Amino acid sequence: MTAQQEHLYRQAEAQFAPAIARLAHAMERQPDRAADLMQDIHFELWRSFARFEGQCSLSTWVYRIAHNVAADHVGAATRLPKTIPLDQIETLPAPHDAERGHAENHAMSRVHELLRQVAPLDAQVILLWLEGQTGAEIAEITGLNSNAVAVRTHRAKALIAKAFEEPQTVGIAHD
Amino acid sequence: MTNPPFLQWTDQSQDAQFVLPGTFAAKSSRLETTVRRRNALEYGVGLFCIAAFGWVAWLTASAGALLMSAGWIVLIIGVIVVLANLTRIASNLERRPELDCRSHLRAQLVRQKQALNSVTSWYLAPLVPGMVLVLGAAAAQVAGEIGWLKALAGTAPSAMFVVLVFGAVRWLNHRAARKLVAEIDRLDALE
Repeated sequence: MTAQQEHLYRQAEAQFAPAIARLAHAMERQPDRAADLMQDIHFELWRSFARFEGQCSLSTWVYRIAHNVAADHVGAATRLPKTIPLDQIETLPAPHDAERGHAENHAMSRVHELLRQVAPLDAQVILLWLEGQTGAEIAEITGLNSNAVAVRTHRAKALIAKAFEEPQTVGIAHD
Repeated sequence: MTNPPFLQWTDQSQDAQFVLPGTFAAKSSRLETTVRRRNALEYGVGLFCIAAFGWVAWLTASAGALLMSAGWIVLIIGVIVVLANLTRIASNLERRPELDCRSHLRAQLVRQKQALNSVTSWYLAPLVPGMVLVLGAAAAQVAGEIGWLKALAGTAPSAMFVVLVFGAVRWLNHRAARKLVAEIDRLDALE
């Protein structure tokens, strides 16, 4: 354990622990699997900070690792899972039966279901947008060009705003 | 960073904390554990095959069928080569989760595609010499009495079965690889 590793880990916890928890719960329906995923992300972050030399911002580094570990986690459970293109989804899907009974917020469950149904990169863009990342930041984290990010966030905005029924609070910045 | 579009989203999990680093000392990620378990299972099956083939090789050698015994020993060598290839392919799994998501996903898909496409050379081919030798020895055992033509015809069903199994393994792996190629093309089109 190096002092820099410890420092970066604590810094990441202070800034991103809630976002990583939300990512884990969005991608894994079962609470125990979500907890496993969260721990895996923490572990990979810890290991990765030994390699971090300021190649990018801490935020980009943390989000890349978190999303890549989550994609591997879901991919390991279901090899090449069947996904639906984002532009073919007209409304947010109904939550899974197992989740419906426990959901405090129906709209939130539907967003979770959407994130599990779309392709990994689409889900990553939507999640980063929900966390308040700008279009440029999302492009840097995901490796997509800004146009591809804008198309996806626009689509997500249209779908999710309807579910939350608060169109006036919706805002998006691409840069 | 800008204001999150839906506060209901970011209001969740506000009290989340990271796991204490001390708990990582003896930990490996779930993916690594899964890979290790899968490899252990494959090595277990491989060792069972080696033990079973070794026993048959000893029995056939005791009965004086040395060519047949040699076939089983070559088959054992083939299984050892397959196990070594499994180790080599698994060790190629380099974890670089700090890559951008698209590159990371692409790298994972390319690695899986390569493993699936090359299944003939690293998984099936090492077993072929032993199979040929065992089937040839079976034919040779009776060829003296009934002639080579009838002897070979007698082993044809077994040979066909082996060819069908190998063909099915190859076809299934190549089909899975083609699906991955489509995924990779889709990712490339996003660039």
